[in-house]
Amino acid sequence: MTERDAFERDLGQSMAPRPAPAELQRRVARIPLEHPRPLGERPVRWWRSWLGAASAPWAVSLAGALASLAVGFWLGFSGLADTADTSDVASAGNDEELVALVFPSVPMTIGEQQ
Amino acid sequence: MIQEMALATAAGAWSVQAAELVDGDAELLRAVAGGDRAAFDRLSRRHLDRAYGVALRMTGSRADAEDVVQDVFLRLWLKPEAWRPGQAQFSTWLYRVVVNRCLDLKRRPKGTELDAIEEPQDPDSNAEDGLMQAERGRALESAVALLPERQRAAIVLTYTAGLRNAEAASAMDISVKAFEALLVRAKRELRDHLAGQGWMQP
Repeated sequence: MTERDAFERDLGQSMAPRPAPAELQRRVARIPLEHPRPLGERPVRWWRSWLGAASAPWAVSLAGALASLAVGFWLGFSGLADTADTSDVASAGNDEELVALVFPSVPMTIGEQQ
Repeated sequence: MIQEMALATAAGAWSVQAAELVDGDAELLRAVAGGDRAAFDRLSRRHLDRAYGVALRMTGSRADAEDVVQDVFLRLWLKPEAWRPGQAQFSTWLYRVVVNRCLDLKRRPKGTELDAIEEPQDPDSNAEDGLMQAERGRALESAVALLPERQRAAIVLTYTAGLRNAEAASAMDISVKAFEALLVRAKRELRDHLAGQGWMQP
């Protein structure tokens, strides 16, 4: 064994941790009893951590995307989207009804205006 | 060759033991954040000896080391969120806090108690070789206590806390290269000190 090896061995042995004093172990063990946490301090819920500062932009984007998808489905299932695909004649009739409903004072045809 | 392998194994054993502590620290700390006293007890038992060892080597005083360690664990109980997963391993963070608290304490005007470090226990202290080795170890401890703060921190984080170079560098907020240079300088100073006292050849 070289002197350098002996030095490393001695350094390792001298610096190795030894058991903490029993009094210190007792003092540390008493910490939770002597310093109870304030009431109301609870583990963070998953959805709160999800909406935490670091992940907020991502969460907001996802929520926006889901909301947009929901509106799309609602429009599709409610039949509004179908009206755009009907024939021109039916579409014209529906359009006139819609205009009459929203703007009752507006004449429906050019002939009426004349 | 066999001796070199045995030395490498002995030197690495401490790091392996330290690495094993990493497993489960995060889970325990999450439980501590939820107010779980049993988790705090387990976490403190895991790290108490090393934290005390680091504080003792850094302060050179048993009383100061005990105060520092108690203060650090109190802070851990009251504000477990101070450690943020992903930034550093829990053990790295813990020993960084211990070292910083010790340095703060040492900067206050106060006498040092180098003699307060307990004498290493040697099972073969009856034998002449054992006595010599114990004396040499004591000289080494005194030499470590005389090192500049940052060099002492490098030695203590490596040999007492059992951190790897990268972890110890992170704990000291310096680059790995800077840490390695610090460690080399610290060892050179220790060897020079021992040589000056006749424990090693110059």
